Amino acid sequence: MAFHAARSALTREKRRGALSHYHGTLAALAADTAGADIPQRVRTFTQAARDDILAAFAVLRGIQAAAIVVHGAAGCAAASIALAEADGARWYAVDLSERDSILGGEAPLRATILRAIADGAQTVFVVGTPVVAINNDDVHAVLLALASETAVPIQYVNTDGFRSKSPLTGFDVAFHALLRLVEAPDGESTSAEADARHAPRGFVNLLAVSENTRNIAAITTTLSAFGIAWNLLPRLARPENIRRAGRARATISLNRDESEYFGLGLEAAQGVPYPALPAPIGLAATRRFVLELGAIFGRAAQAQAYADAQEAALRELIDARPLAGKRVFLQTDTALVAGLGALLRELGGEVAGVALSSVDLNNRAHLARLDAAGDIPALVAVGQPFELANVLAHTALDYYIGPEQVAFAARLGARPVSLANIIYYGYEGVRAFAAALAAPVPDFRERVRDVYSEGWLKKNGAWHLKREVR
Amino acid sequence: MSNIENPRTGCALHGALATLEAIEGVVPIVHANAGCAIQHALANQDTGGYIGGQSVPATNIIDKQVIFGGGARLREQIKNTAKVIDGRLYVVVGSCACAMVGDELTGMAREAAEQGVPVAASNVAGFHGGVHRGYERVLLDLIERLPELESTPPHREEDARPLVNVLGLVPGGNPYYKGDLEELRRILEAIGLRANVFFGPDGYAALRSLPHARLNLVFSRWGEALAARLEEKYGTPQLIFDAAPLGIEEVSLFAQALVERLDLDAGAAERFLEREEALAEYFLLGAANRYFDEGVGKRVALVGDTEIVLRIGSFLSRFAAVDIRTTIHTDRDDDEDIPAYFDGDTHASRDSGEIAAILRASDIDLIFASALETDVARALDVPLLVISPPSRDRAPGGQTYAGLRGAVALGADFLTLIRQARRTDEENAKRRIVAGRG
Repeated sequence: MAFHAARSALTREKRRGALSHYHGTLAALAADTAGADIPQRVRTFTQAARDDILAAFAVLRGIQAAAIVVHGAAGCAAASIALAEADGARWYAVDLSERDSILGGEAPLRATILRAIADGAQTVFVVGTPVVAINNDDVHAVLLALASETAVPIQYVNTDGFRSKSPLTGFDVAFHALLRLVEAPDGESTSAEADARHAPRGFVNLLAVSENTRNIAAITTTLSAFGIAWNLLPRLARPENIRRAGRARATISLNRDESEYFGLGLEAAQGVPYPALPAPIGLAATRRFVLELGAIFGRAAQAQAYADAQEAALRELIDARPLAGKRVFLQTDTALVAGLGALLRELGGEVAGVALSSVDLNNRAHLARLDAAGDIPALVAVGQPFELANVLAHTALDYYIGPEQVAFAARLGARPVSLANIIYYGYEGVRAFAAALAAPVPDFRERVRDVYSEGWLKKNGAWHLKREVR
Repeated sequence: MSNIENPRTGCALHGALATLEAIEGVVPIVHANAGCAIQHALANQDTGGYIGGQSVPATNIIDKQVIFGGGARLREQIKNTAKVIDGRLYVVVGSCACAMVGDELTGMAREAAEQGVPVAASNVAGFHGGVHRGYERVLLDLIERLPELESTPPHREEDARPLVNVLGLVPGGNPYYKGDLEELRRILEAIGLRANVFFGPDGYAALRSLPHARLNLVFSRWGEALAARLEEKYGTPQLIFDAAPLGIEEVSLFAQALVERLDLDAGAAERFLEREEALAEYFLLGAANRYFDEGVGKRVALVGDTEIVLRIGSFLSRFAAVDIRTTIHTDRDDDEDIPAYFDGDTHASRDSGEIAAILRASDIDLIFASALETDVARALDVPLLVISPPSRDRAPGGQTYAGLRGAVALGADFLTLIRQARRTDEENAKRRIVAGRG
């Protein structure tokens, strides 16, 4: 049975051999993950980390006219305070009590789903939590009963917070639910007008999850500039954007670590090609991205002209090598590390260390593409700032670039650049990224307090890791 | 209503975490699946202190520990937390998952404490209730364990002023709680007392001074169980207020009660209050004409915990003669009887959909609520001032709506709000005129 046809997605560990704990050097990490079976490690000390539920939220939150029903205690939906988008999904917590955790939460779940539908939801996603997983609530029975009462599609996103050590599993579980909403090739079109608009060239599915909207806009602008129509999902997607994904000419991901499951699933189920394009970050990767898409859509000449014009406009910046001689630590997803590393090199800098979210059988090739100067420190971790603290305390840096821990890096004297709110995708990203690195930053060296013991900062950073015994 | 649309705070675990994070020197250890502590970090971004966000130690238990128990993982985590993170006191807090599988937190903490590591535990779980329950529960558990954790009593300062404990202001219960506590400290110290707020830089040393106070001051019902336990255990009497004082009248009554109760220098308190009143007049009454120009007697709705609703509602009634049409209490159960503090409707709800429906049905000019009410305020075309969580983009810093400085700040914000309302009315009127032109 194909993976997408199963009842739920497998964990990243089972499907891709994902490694989520490593502390060493890049060369050692590459060697360690080169075999058919990636050896797993466990931490004997950990800090707060994201789980599969939060990753699923990231996939679902931007879907318009949808309801996210969090089947758990009220706190399991607390992240909605930060993640809810004004034009995205509406959030509901089933608000299970201790009593429900003993007697079962099926009745309050049913009531919450019916409320969401009454409030106008066109699609309902029920997100699982540890309480219902441990209590073994029969969510499928509730959904089956409701299927005869409502035409609104209700999908179970079977997350539980503890099945996988890799939070990235949650992306797959949520995309598994989305795949079930895609119409079969012979399905009735619900968006004839949109189809007519895109004819005769068709459109590309553009998968975007965690990227800030300006990064997404940088790529949609690029696609439109050389005449390719796009179907953005799951961010800002309407239900019909998901339903018609099977009629696309191709699917591309802005970050394959997040959305590969959907691309591969759609390719397997409906034959929509999912070419192995690099993340469009930096001049070289963006050129390849543009040219390959141009070829797929019969717009090769337009793509070539567009890429040439954009690169010519950036030539002065690249020739100036604004990062010449600068050592940079990169914290990012593995699927993006080669692109960001190349962008740094294009600007004259060098990668002096990396922290990656997960390394697995599918994305390990990016480690070689990073083309780092010499053997550099490498971490594999989600969160775990204490590990980063240890590495940063031993590494001379000019810049620290990442979505997290930037204030801590600043304390150690590196210039911090947060990826959270800047543009780094596409040609627009080259200029914006260089500008962000050139922007003045306050001196935080004495301002950010440190909670880590001297002993830990001096220790070998792998002191707390042990090999997993199966 | 059992379910909640758009929750506005977290669960009991999140309340316990916010409480511990706010006490400098205290390091929480979360025994839970991954995600629980991050949900708190995302939901309560402005409550953190010494440690918070992704820095919080957490066991991140996986299926193996859910099935076979997570005791061994917790033991290992406690031991290594003390090696990696500097702390005066480590506090293990539980979760729904570890409560359901029956992991024994107290025993693990005691085992480590016997080896000289200062560790306590609180069997809190998300499904025990909201953030207020977590505050109450974790502090009750700490009160039980504090005397055992260090053999030497806390350093007693030479300061002869009586120490009073400040209880009932829940971290994150309102966005400005840090500023509120500091304003209360300022007032208490000005009238001859030492304030033990224990949140913030005073931290763990202040927490250990809880038993040495002369009086427990309680500012909401969430401090009542704590004061009762401290009285039972240490004989400390208590003085209970429904809310923190706001404005010169409330602060004067508050100061008078303390002067009488603790036999303080009434003259010193009076001099302080006179000076503060003069300052308040300087800031606020200088703008009296503008208040009357913009129109007082506005019809308002207040949404938040009972403490902040009562505090702000009472002040605005006196100061600006507002007509409180609707109050919605977010820390009460649906079926709870709420005293009718004001003439208008009284509701209990944490549900954003239900709150929006109540506000839509209310005839109001202004809304004092959370950032979640932005859409309904926009739909009703009335201004909103954020007084309850979540505050979303508004970073609270040291701002306060308590005491005397809080009154000046609220008075100014109120004036800003009614000016905005008047401008909106004028723009709407202009649009009508233009639309009606032939």
